[in-house]
Formats: sequence, C-alpha cells, structure tokens
Amino acid sequence: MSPLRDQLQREVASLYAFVQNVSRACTPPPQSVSYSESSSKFFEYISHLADCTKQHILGFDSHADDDAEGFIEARTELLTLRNAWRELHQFIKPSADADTLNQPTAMVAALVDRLHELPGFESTDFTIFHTDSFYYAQVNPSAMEVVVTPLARIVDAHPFPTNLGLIGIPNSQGNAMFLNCLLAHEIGEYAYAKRGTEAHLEMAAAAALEEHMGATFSTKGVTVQSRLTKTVLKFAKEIFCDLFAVRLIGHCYSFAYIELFDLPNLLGKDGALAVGDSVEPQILSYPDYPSHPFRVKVQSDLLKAEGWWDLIKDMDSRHGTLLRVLLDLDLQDFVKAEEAAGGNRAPFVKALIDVMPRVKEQVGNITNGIDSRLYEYGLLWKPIAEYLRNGIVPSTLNILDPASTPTEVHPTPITALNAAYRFYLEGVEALMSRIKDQNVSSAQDRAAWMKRIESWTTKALEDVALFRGTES
Amino acid sequence: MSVTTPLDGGSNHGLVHSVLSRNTIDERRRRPITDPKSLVITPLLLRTDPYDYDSIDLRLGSYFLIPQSPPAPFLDPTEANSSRLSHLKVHKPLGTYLVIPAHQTVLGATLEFIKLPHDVSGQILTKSSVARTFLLIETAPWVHPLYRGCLTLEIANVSNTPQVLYPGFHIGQLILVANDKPADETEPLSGAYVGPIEPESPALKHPKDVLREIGITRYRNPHFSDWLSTRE
Repeated sequence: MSPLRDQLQREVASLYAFVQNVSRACTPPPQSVSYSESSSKFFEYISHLADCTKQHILGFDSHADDDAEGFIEARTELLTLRNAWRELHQFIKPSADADTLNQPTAMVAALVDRLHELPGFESTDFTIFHTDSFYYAQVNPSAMEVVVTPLARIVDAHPFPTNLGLIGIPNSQGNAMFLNCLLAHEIGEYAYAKRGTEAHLEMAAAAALEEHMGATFSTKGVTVQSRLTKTVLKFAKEIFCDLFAVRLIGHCYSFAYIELFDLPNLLGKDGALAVGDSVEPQILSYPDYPSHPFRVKVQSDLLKAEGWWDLIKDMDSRHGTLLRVLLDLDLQDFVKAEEAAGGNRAPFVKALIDVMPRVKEQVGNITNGIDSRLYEYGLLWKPIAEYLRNGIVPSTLNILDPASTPTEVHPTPITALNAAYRFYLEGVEALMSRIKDQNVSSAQDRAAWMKRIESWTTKALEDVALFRGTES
Repeated sequence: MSVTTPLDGGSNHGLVHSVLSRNTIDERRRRPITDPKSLVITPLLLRTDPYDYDSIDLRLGSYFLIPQSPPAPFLDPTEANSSRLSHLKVHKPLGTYLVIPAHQTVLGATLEFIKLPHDVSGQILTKSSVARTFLLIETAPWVHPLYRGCLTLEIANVSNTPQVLYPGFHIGQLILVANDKPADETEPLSGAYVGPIEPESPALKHPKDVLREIGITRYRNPHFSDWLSTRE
C-alpha cells in the first residue's frame, strides 16, 4: 500500500471513531431517562447522519487515489466531515443531558404551543440542550444549516429537519420554572432569523447611523460602515426578541429578565433609580447589547401599551417598582448618560432609538393577531393567587364569572404562568403564614416554599395541557 | 358504616361517619376554594367517567422514586440524606411506561392533586382490576382533612411477574368519609408533606429525637452497633 493511501486510511479510521464517539450520546439515547418529542427527533436525525457518515467513510478508500492530487481532494473532504461533526459535538451530549427531568418540560411545551398560534410557526419545535454558560442561547437556524447541509450532501443524508430549533439553557436551570420564561427571548431569536428580520432593519440602521455620526460614518469604507451598522442591528435584535417575548408570554418575561440580571439593585432604598448625578455603569450600553435598564424600559413601555401595566402597577415587589421607575424614564436619558460617560456608543443608542419603530413593526407583523390573554389574566390572577396561597395547584379554578355565576375554569398556560410568577414575587409570606413552624426570615424556609410555588405552577401547566388534549 | 347523606352546612357534631356519594363529591368540587368544605381534585379528566357511586377513580402520575441500594447501604434514619439517596427519581411521560420487576417496590403518585375539605377524610384503595394483578398501591392509605397534594403511592408488585405501569391509567379509588367534627381550617397546615406534586422521599425522624420523647436514654448506631446517647 502506498504511503499516501496508508496515511489516508488511518485518517479515515480516526474520523470513523470520532463520529462514533460524538454521536454515541444519542445513538441510541440513554434508555434510563425520557426525552421530549423534539429531542427524540433531533437524536433520530443525528443517528441517521452518523450512520450515513460512517457508511460513507467505509466506502471512502475506494475513491481515494494514490496520487497527491487525489490525496488532497480526499483529505479536504475528510476535513469537511470532521469540521461538521466538531460543530455538532457541542450540541449532542448537552442535548442528551437535557432529559425531561433536566429541562423545564412543561414550560417548553407551553411556550411551543403558544408559538404555534403565530402564522408560519405552527409546526416549529425546539430541542433543548444544556450550556455551561449563565445565559440562554439560541442556535441560529441558518448557522445550523451551514454546518449540516454540506455534511448531509456529502454523505447522502436527509437535510436537517425543517422547523426544528435548538435552544440552550444554563445547566443549573434545568428543573427551574420562572427563570425559564427567558426561553421566550430565544424563541424570538429563532423567529427573527427565520423571518429574515435583519434585512428589514438594515437600511434604517445605516440611515440612522449616518444621521447621528455624520461624516464619521459616511466617509468610512463599506467594511467599516457594515461593522458599525451591525452593532446597531445587534442592539435592535435584542430589543426585537425582548418585545417578541413580552408579546408572546406577557409580563412574566420581564420579571424573569429582572431576576436573572438582578436588576432590583438599580433601585435605591427609596425605590428610586440609583442614578443620581453620576452615571451608573448599569445604564450604559454594552459593546453588543443595549443596557439592561434600557431593555427593561422598552419592555415596560410595551407592557403599558398592551394594558398589562394597569394590572400589575400595584404589585408589592421591587420588580414592579423597577418597571414603574423605568417607565417614567425617557429614552433620551440613556443617550445623555452615554454622552456624559464620554464613550463612543451614544450614536448607537440614538440610532437604535430611531430604528425602534421599525423593530416594533416587525414584532407586530410576526405576532399579529395573537391574543395577549390580558382579559383572562384580569379575571383569573386573583383566584390563581388565592389557590397558591392555599397551597393548591391552580389548574381547576372555581370562580364567579362576570355574571356572578359559579363556574369551573382552567386557565391557559400564559395566564397561569403570569399569575403564578406574580404570586411567587409577592405572595410567599402569605403562603408561609398558612404553614406551621415556618420562618419568613429564614432564607432556607423561603426558598423551599418558592420552590413549591414553582412546582405547583409546573403541575398546573401539565394539567392544563391535559385538559386541552382531552377537549380537542 | 352509615350511608346517610353527608352533611352540608350546619354542624357535623354527633353524627356518624358517612361515605360521600358521587353527587356530594361533585357538589363539594364546585365550591369556591375559600369555603372550608371545598374539595379539589385536579386534573379531573372527564372523557371517561371517573366516578363510582361512592368513590372517584384516580390515575397514576408520571414521576417515580425507584429504590436503589448504592450509595446508601440501607435506609438509615440517623443520616439526614439517607432517604433521598436511597431512591432514584424517574420521569415517565404519558404514553411511556415503567416496568416493575416481580417482588419489587416503587414510590409513585397520583396524577390528580387533591385538597380535602376540613370535614372529610379520605382513603385510597387499589382499584380491584389492578389488585387482581397482584399490584398494591398503598400501605398508608388514610388521608387527613385539609390535606393537599398528589397522593404518594407505595406501589408493590407482589406477583411473580414483572408488570408494566402506564402513567395516566386509573390505578386507585379515593373514598371520602365525612367526619363528625371538622378540623380547624384556620390552624396552620402541619405535616412534612404539604403540597407535593410527585412522590417524595420519606421524612425520617431521627431515633434520638423520637426515643428521647419517651424517656429512652440511648440507641444503637446502625453503622457500628455501638450505643449512643439520645441526649447528645
């Protein structure tokens, strides 16, 4: 055997072993745990892709030539295969780790059901995987296509399932509830990419930068202009996803956002924004994102416009206070803060503010016609809180309807989620007062009952999904 | 046992226990939660009638605790984490199944979350069709007034054959019994198991605490069989 062929065969075998190892986590998936349908779909595809790749590799040396040109050609193909599997590697085992006990199964199902209400997303589903990061992540569907399509073409496999997204959740939040409302943002990223929203914003972003940067922008080359515009587009994407999430699931998204980033620390003892004369770093934007207060302010504006604010403005929680304070802030205050800080990001914030009407328009187009569940929330948030205060899963509620007739109702997941999150923030003391030997000053006791509220909400989402199934 | 109509309004004092009938169960279920006589059973899936004349069928939930030997060599009430370590939590979504080997046990829970009225106790029994496969679901079947939570089921396959359990199947029947004196609903809820939605490991009491209460001054350590004081 020639040295080239010999070398190639070693590399072929190495790649075969590599594919075996990478795909092992899901071929077959562990039988000791259960997976959601979307995870199973993802594993089936990976398994299929692995089989095709291995089959292709087994026949590889038959078309590997002994000459140097043929070797390079074959070597290039091997590299393409290996690179694709290297990319897939980061999702496979983390997806296998996200079994139904280690992902917010009921929450994901509720969010996906909600997404199905939007035209064009009726068959979309998401595979959840764990990340080591503190933050949630969405794998851009086109990026996945870039990885998988060439691989599938080479090894003669099916294309990646259409309408299957991948979302990463922090591995610590696998069985949490309320914080996972942030998944709605990642679903927004998926929608943003699928609908090609960026293309609708690009020109407006460039025009806004030109207006605010003047010659500093217009005299730059295309590459620099594109890079600057990209920054505004990144800002705009975050705002799009936040607004999409609020439209999709209501105020609970903002509560989760405030909680994840510990934003109540923006408030002073008096409940006012702790900005004062000096510019607090929190109000300034980051290189790729608007500041958290900016983002929550935009969310609170939408909550007000949608009518949520009237129903939550009196809530007894610093989350509510923060929303109120940011509602009173003007977007121009963020520009002033950037200018006072002397950095170079003021034009980006100004441009973002200019682009925001278009961002809202895009959110409106995608979520057009969706029922916010506001009316239902107005009717049911108090009964749901009453059930939770009594330690009862709020999936079947006996209430008086608007005509004062006793009636049994099952809340929709969105209403259950919002009302329960609200109770989680302001009602835990009331719940603990119903339980013997519980100390509201004890973080351990409090955390235990907060966990219970999460578990009752999870159960409520599971129950209402069953009710919907039996009613259909 | 009397089968007189269970009490509705007024005092229960001086009356014998009576089993709640279908109509009364239904009527109690419709009461607002603020009414201490209210009964909650959720989700009550009505596509198949869950009621019998004097009981209501409950379904098997999706979560299980399967006993495991390692890492704990035995269930040890002197070790705080012993009961948690002695079980493996498993989720079997609706549509999937769990196999219980012959002569094995597993903790499960009802799919339904219940809250009993202040004047009603409950008893959960294995459904006869299930019992005839030599599967038992309860060894602590009594449920106190005002209890709330999914009912933990101590499921034992006492047959010689492995058995398949499908979550969502009717597995037990809940019988509700009116008490002659209602519990005080204004009292704080007590007990180690308020509001579970899945089976939970037992809250074992430490032998030194239990034995000290009855004047016993020492107990044997299960690890080394040495004697320890209950006063330390």
